[in-house]
Amino acid sequence: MGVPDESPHGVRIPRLELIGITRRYPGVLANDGVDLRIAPGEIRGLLGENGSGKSTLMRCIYGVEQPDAGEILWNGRQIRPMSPRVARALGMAMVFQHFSLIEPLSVMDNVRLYLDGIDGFDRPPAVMRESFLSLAESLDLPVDPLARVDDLSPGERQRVEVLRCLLLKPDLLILDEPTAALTPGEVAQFFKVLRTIADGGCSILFISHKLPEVRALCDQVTVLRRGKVTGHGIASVMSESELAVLLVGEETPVLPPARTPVGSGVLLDLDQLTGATNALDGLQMQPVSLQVRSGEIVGIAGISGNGQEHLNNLISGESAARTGRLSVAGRDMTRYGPARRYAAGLQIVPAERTHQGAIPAMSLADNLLLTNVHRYASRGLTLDREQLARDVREIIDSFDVRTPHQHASAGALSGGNLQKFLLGRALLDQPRVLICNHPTWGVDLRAAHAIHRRILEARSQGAAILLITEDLDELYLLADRIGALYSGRISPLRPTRELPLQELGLWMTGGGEMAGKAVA
Amino acid sequence: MTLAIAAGSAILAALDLPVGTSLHALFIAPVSDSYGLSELALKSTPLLLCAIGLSVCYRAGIWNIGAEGQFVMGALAGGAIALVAPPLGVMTLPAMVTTGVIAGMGWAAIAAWLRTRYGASEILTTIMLNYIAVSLLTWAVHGPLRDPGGYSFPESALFESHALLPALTESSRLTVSTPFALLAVGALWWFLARTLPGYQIAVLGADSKAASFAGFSTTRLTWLVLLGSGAFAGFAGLSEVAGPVGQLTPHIAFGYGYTAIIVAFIGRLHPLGMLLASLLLALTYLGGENLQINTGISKSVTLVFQGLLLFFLLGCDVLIRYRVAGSNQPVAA
Repeated sequence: MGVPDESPHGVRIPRLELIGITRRYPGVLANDGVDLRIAPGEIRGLLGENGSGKSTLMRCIYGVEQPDAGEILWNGRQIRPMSPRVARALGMAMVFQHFSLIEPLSVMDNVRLYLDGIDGFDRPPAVMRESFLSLAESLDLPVDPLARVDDLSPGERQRVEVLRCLLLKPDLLILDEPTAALTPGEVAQFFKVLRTIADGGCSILFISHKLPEVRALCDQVTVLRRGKVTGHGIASVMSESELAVLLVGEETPVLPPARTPVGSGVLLDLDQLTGATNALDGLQMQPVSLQVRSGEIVGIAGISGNGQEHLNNLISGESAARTGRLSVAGRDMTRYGPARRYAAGLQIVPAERTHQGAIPAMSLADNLLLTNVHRYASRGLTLDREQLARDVREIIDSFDVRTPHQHASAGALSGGNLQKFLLGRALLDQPRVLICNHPTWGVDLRAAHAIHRRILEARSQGAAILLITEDLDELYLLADRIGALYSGRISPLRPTRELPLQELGLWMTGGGEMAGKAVA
Repeated sequence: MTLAIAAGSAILAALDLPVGTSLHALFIAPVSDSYGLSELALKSTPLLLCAIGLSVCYRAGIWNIGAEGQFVMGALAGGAIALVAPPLGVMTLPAMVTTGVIAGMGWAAIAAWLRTRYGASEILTTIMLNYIAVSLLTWAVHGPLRDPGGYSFPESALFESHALLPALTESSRLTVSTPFALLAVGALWWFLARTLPGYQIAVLGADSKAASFAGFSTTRLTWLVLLGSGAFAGFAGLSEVAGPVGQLTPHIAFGYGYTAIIVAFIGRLHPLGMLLASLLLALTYLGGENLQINTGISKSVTLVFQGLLLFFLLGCDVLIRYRVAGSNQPVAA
């Protein structure tokens, strides 16, 4: 973006400077020559999709991992933090995305554990509480120091995490998606506090994938994609579309030849559906209305944690519905649980292959049974094991599942083969509705290709398919209509050919159509 | 097993006892004649019945420790029918069996309700219910059910002959409950391998998230396994008092409900395994008594051997599944 990476405070030694940070995992270049400079008192936004390398970069800075190449300069001096303890001693503090508080303990116990063993904090509890309280008061972040952490709301836990970091008077505060669990009101107040902290000279590195928040809070913003810095600039100057391009890339993937819809009937119909538990981990799920027709693939893009699991569970019946209506192949299924919905022609390829979709210790036959009880349990009591064995063989053959033998346990299969088996399970009985969650996540190319082919085949046989995925290439390859999930709300659906990637990128990050509507 | 015998021998040796004779008295002498073998089958029957019910709970990941209480309630309620109900003639025994089974289920139902309604740990509730059941039995045989002609001993009157389970042979004390237990072993195998609820129980025990994905109701399955377990334990209790014991006494349970836990685990929750394990544990009971008669060692040694068996079984499991790792990796500093 051509904006030179100079501190707005003039020519001063940067608080933190990264030069060519590279970190390799087997098969992945998580960070590829990343350069970054942060001035004292600056709030820097770091944007990137999941898997773009943000978290790896933070772990390198904070000493959780060591970079394979590159230099880290701290106030102009070269350092190599070997552990978070070293990083803390240097004056860095980090709040991780998932809270690291111990729930059955009190707030003060958690604070003391965090500071334990650090020079200057070996003070009596009463003194510690005093300094904690005065810090909380000065920042207008009230927390009861004697409360047990389990009794605190996510917002209050966030305050405790931040406050205990600030007790160390850090020079750099790293926040990894800190607003994920906060309500909009809490976010606004949290930003005010961050600005106060930065005004005191502490630099802040703010990791997020929400464009509006980054633009509202940060001085400068750096965007990562596939391990590389794709650009940076002044947050308030850059437009959301400019950022979206840096985030998801320039070119819309090559579109497959236009496909004619196969059927016309609506097979999956969600009408203003809400779940009994609507607020999950701070995410407020909005009522969902969605229709998928026979022979159509509807794709839902979105960065995970924006309501994908909730959407899937609403459709599967794992989350009971509170209001609204859901029908599968024309039959009202709102009040029924998963087993009845599977019997009605719904099948699911779940997000988690093991510990949800399959039980590793059980045989393939038993795993086939998991979503097909209606097919093998005559009169709901005895199981037709012979038919099960025949069907397992058929899936292994027709889906090219590589397995040691037919009676192998699901745990003996590689990820790609297990996924092929799970797709085979879902397609065995010609489902009317198929929900695919990240169907090729962590799967090798060959298997991914086979899985895509099978999904398209199911479409041409008239199934209504909902594809929930973070993989945008996959989405553009398969989907007939595309929408995005952001903060618990689904965008309008648009035909794939009429939706440029940049616009989808905006929707996924809370810009464009989603701006201002995401929160009620 | 070998380890348990070795450790047991060491203890015997430490007590200055003749190891060889003692082991012989413990494990060989009790089963050296046909009467001994029938006594072994008699002892193993309640253990096997309780273990069958417990194993289904454990497969579902429901830690029912309450077979003892369910056993006692079955014995108490079924026995009460024999003692105080109006004469029922030939219907007495069916009424007793039904009542015993229902009482066992009812006792387990309390734990099931607390678990499914309030999320109370079934481990704690079943243990506490055990104590309540035993206290109820003690109260009953000291009070309302005490034999009026029993010289104030805390025991009920002996049951009438029509209130006793039919004997299997002239020469032994075995009743129909033993073949019934063998039948139950086969039924359990069929239930686990060939029925939908058996499969659902396995899924629930293996992975509750997968069970919820499949749409199996945890609540329904929890009720099912606890009620089933209560039914078996209740029947076991009833068949003890309506069989070899023939009356209510404060000590009818004899720890069967707890020993059955060991049977279930030594038998690896497998029907045939539990059949063998019930014989083994029954042998420790007989051997303990034998040892006390022959050498004067307290029969508490039975409990020691039972404990050693379970300890070495679980210990070996840990060592087979996990590797012992030193903690000498450098601590990042």
